[in-house]
Amino acid sequence: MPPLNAPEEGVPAAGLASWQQDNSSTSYASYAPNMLSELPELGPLPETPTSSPPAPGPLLSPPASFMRTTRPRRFSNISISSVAATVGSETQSACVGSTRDLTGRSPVLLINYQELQYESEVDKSLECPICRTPFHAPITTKPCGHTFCSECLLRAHQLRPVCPIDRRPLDVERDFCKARVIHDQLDRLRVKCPSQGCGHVCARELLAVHYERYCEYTPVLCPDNSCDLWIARQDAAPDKGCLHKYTPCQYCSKQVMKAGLEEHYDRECSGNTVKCAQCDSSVVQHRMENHVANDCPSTVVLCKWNKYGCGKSAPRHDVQAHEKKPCIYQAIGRLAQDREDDRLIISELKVRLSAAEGRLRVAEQEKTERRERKRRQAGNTNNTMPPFVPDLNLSNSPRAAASYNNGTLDSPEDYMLAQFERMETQMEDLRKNIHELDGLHSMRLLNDTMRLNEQIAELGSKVGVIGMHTTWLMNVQRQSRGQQRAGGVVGSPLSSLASSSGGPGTTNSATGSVTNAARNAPDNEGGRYYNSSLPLRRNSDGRGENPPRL
Amino acid sequence: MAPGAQFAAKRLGKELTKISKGLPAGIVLVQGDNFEEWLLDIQVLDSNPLYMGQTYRLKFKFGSSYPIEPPEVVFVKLPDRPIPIHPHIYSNGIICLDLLGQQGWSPVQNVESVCMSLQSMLTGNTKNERPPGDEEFVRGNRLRPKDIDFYYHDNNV
Ligand SMILES: [Zn+2]
Ligand SMILES: [Zn+2]
Ligand SMILES: [Zn+2]
Ligand SMILES: [Zn+2]
Ligand SMILES: [Zn+2]
Ligand SMILES: [Zn+2]
Ligand SMILES: [Zn+2]
Repeated sequence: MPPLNAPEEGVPAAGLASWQQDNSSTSYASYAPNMLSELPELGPLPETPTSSPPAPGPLLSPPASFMRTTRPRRFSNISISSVAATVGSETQSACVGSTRDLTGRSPVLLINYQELQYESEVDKSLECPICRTPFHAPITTKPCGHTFCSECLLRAHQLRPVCPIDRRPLDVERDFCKARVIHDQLDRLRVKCPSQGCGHVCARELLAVHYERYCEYTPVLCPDNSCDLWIARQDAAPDKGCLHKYTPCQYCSKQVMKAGLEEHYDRECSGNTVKCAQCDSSVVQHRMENHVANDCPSTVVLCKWNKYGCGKSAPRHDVQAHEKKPCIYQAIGRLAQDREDDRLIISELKVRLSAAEGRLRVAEQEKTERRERKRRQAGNTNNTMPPFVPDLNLSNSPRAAASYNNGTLDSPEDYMLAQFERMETQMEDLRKNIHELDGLHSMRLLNDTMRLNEQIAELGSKVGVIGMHTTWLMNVQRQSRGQQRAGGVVGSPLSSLASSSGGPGTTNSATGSVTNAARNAPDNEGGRYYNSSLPLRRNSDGRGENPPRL
Repeated sequence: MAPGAQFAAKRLGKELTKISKGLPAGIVLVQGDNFEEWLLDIQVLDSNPLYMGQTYRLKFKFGSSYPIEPPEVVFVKLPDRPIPIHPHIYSNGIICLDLLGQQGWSPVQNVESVCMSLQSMLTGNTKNERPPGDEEFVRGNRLRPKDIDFYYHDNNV
């Protein structure tokens, strides 16, 4: 990365790259400042909204709304209101403005999370009901449990302090809390880098790091101190100077801003096009290499999941169709990507942690040395005192350590301790997140298998019921056949069915009547008696005559 | 550009995508090519004799604070698009519906939900009359609909 000219304090930190001009208004949008970080500076909403169209700004002066005269505060997540503090950790990780001063880099345009493009369609349950885009820094209302982006809810709340869904009165201090549950899912959403020209796609959680540190296309302040327009980081080398000046295009001799030359070649330049040898489309000469490498549908490429086992290699348009089908390695690939993202986060944190540890060690050494010196100066009178051993158990009780020193510590040490403590909590958070994620995954698996198990159990019980039906039907048939064979006997199968359908109650009365009959006609033949008791026996086995219900 | 215009445009873009996938029966988007003003046609679907066979034209005007602030919604009179008769609709097309006022609006509402509310407001009506004082109101009013302080006397019509 080329060294950047860090502008001095007080230089206007925002503006709109006017090389964006020739595009539709959406390209401004991706450069709109992140509203969240500006929350404390938001004035009251205008009483009567203007009905003027969102007209594109004049050619060289950026629209006033993108100008900022003061640099963002250094610790915006501390200095702003308690609401933002409740969503603080996301603000810290996602908001470029809060970290750039710490890294000492040139200011970059803030990410507007509502403008982000997602790789695939996002689940509706992750959409904010106000802006209808995936939540950013979501907060949930405590009394009614509704979730919104913090920016959206605060804007709505400023106008009317009620829940936008059920109109329950809400208090900023008391009723808002961070929406923890969906954080993981939001962090995992795969999102495209908002910088124009960058095709990078990553987990949303990593976007800020990519955008702010690595992306070569991120708009940064022009290296020319007299210019307050934005320029892609890769073009912001001080030796190139300000690229916001006009120059004629070498192919079509139209006047184009230097920074916009590439864009001009890509989109509008008509001069000096040549035919691609592979696909027969006409391409600007300047772009031929790029076309063959990245666009030409006839270039032979590999499936994007080839790293994970797919061996497909064909002209680009075939491979694109194959990837869309989708490629069977996609599932594995996605999983592996997730893991890689995780690993990246972890290594990033490790680096930060070890840096902090190193600085802490240096600070500690200095501290002991100073102490030693002081002791030697003052301790000539008392040589019996044992040498001071610094309390190394700082990570557990940095506060105790500080108070142990009874205020003799000056700010660098304190600062290091605080830093260290922060690293520690961040590591802890990370560990917790990984655990949560693990739990989530196994939960999902469990849920899926549970559903399958339930279905299998249901099928099993259905099979059982059908079996019972069959036995019942066979029984009835066997019986009716037996009775037909007995022939002309009193209880026909039909009447026995009718008498038994009454259930256990009638069984008893039937028993009574049978015993009565037996008593009244003691001289009846045995065969006849046996036949009339038949329905009783069948009834008593519980299942009776009625088929079991499905 | 007003600070919120981005926000409004983005949200309306989202709504437009959703509308292009389909609207409920009886609602048709007539014009929605900018983020300021949309035109929609609505019809009452059941056989209410007051509105049978008619189509009404709605005009939505969005401010830069939409959806935090309500849109301005009125019926528009055209040769084949009358103003529906209703005790809460003035003969100049202004609608007295709490949902569209500063107090009753909620940012989770959208164009589709407003149209559906108006549909059901017409469906449920049996009175063949204009609001009281319609004539003076139509003659005298120079205010924009959202600035009128309606008294929502009867919320269940
Ligand atoms: Zn609520
Ligand atoms: Zn939102
Ligand atoms: Zn990028
Ligand atoms: Zn410049
Ligand atoms: Zn050209
Ligand atoms: Zn080609
Ligand atoms: Zn493949």
